[in-house]
Amino acid sequence: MAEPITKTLAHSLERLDALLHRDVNTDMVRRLLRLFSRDAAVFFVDGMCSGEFLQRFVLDPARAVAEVPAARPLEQAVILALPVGDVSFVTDFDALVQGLVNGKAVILVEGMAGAVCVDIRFFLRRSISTPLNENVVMGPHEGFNETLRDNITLLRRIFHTPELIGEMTTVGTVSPVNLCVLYLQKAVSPVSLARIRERLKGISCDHVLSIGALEQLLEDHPFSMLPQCVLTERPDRAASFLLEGQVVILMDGAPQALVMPVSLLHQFHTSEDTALRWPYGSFLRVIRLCGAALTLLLPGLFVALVLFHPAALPVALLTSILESQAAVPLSIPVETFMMLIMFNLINEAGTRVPGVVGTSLGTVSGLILGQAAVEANLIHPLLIIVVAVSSLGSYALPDYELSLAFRMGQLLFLLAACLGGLYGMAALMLVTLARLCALTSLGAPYLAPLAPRRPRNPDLLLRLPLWRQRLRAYLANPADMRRASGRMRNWRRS
Amino acid sequence: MNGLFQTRTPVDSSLSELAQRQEAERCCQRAELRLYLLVTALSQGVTVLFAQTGAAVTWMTPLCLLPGLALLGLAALCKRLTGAPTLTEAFRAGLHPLAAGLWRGYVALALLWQGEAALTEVVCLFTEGVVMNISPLGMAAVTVATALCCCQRKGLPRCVWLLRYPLLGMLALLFFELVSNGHWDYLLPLTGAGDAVNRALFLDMTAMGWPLVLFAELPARAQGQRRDTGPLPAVLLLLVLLGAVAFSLPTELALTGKKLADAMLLPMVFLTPVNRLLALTGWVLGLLLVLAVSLRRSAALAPGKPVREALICLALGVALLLPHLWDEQRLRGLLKLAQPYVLLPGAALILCLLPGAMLRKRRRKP
Repeated sequence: MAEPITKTLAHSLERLDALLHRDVNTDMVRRLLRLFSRDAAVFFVDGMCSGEFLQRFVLDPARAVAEVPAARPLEQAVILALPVGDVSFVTDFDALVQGLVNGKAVILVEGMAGAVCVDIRFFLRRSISTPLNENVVMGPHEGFNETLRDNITLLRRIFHTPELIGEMTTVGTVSPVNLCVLYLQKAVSPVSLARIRERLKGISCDHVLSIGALEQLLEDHPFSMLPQCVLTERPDRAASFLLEGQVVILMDGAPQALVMPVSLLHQFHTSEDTALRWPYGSFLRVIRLCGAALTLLLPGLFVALVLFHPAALPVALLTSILESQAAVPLSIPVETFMMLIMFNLINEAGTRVPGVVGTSLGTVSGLILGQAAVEANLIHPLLIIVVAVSSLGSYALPDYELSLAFRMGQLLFLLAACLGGLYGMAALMLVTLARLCALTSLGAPYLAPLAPRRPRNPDLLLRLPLWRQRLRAYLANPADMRRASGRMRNWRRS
Repeated sequence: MNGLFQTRTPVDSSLSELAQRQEAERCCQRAELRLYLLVTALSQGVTVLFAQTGAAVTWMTPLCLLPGLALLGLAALCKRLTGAPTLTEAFRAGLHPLAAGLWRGYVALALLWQGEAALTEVVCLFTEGVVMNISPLGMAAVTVATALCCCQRKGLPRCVWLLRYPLLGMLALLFFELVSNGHWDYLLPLTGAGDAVNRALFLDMTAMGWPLVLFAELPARAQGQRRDTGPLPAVLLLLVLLGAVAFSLPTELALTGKKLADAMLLPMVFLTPVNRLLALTGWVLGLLLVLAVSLRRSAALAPGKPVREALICLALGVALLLPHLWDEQRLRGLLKLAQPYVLLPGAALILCLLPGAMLRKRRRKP
């Protein structure tokens, strides 16, 4: 049970000093003052409150009423004396400390069995900037930043309706992190919402470091290779998920929004698909799907065809492969594995080193190493094309986690191809599909609305016209599936 | 063009959301059973009927499917009379819970038998047909492991549902090549290897259509749902494919393949290399699916977890025993020995149920 704040200021100060470890925590500031002819104290965390706001909205008004007797109950008098929008009264030390560490200033007065929390938070933060990992040609160019309030505001700016609900909550037992669960009241499925609330309530760990950690604590199948949530840093994409009846979670300190439930196909969609006219959107989606297929299957297919089924290759191509292979000391499977590992190495190194150097590193490694390896007869020239094309495919995937999953799957398919040729690949494909079909995201089938069939718009593999997309996703509230009643283009061409 | 852009599922249909979801799962189950029927019957049609009767496969196949179809009809009648959603429920309502248990036991054993047959074919294909550097033991272990990995309660039917169009596309491709290689003369003589062989084969192959009975286990459609075509598409596809096989090869050539692997590879002899590879991959995929479906369904029919695990252990045990039995004639002999009798217990049980169901209907009337 939470410890109540007593009316004795001296006791409260002593207790707070102990709770805040003020003997060593020098940034926990205490300022003694007089208020309504009584002794009082203000606590705040240095750097999380605005000094100017503290002076203007707490200390100056306090000085004005320092020796004025209170004309009404003390807590009301204190609250009315402060010209600040967000003021709250707390009665226990837990809530007081929570407010304090979240950046509020706390006022304690002799004879008042509680404390007044004043929201004068102000801390350094990154401004709204272009999303780093989800670039688009058409569409807005603003992305989430690390501040929860800013991120909620970005979404509120898109939805001018009270139907957008943002439930504030926290996760973490020792050091709670603020979260906001956002959804559109009518569109969201009550089942999904109940599941999210239950899972968030069920998280029991001292601190959740990042939104990625939160994803791992919320997902249905933690051992699956595929991500069961979408992480996006674009407010417009988060908004499109909200319109589809999905739940968006924003976390303090995370520049991404976590979306649940999702299907595999959602991870191939980008916000640009909707911004562009439907033929272009569909074209881009087909390209992306081809990229995914090439990433997953091309290296394996190459090895399977050359090693196990040479008869299926054109004679000229087969002869050329075998002739150049004769000079290479390594076998094709080893070469392919080596090349894929090398690609992943270059990719990882390029990601870790600073911006411009990373790009140069990728280019230099790709060009020089590839050229040198071919000239030294270490690898087959055709293999460079195979690995390069499959790697390009992985870059076309809009979701980073999905791209990683596909790159890991690529190695598995290569292994299957080395062991059993096309038959091995077919068997692995069967196992993968069966497991994929059994996967769920927040209880919803991962491959729906394809398998099993669900109500859907013509917006799955292809992005067909927007004005035909009258439904929300199958993940939405079944009572509010329609986004439009009647025709969307309700006008006649003159 | 307009249809292409339309919203796929009408939200304003009379079905509730729950009914729509149930119907979606039923579609997946139906697709799974159709594929099961298609692959098992196609496999028997190619390796037994076509290999022993040649062109007569075109009319012997529907004939051999007739007992299964008749049994499915009787099962549907029993379901209607008892008002039960599934045949197991009909047994429970019309006879006794023990009869329902017997029925489930029969179906589980028949599924396992079919699974073992599929396993034999995969092992035989890879060790004697498409020779790969692997022992029968290794192949059996890999195949069963793959099938067990696919054994997802909801995942497997959905996977089959998802694969239906790619598989149909592949079959269409093969059909066109088979037909383009064919000649009308190859369909003659219609009697194939002769009446005596046909008669003996018919008696052996009455169980060819036993998977049809599995359709009686699908829950009945809800009010307002479309009448489904049941096993009909799979049967038609089977007849078309076997017809194309018969059309593409002369009877004399068909009758030369005596070994299982030869019989399996025979229809692909004149295909282009790419299509042959496609056909073989599809064949292996189909057999793997049959094995996985057999394991999944038989495990689902078992009454409790221990029995379920025992069944899977039994299947694994037989898979590991397989290489020791690896004298093809001996092994096929064992499987063939059971073949004529697979349908009999099921037929006997359904015939016992029929009077019970009629009595129940009469009792329900007032």
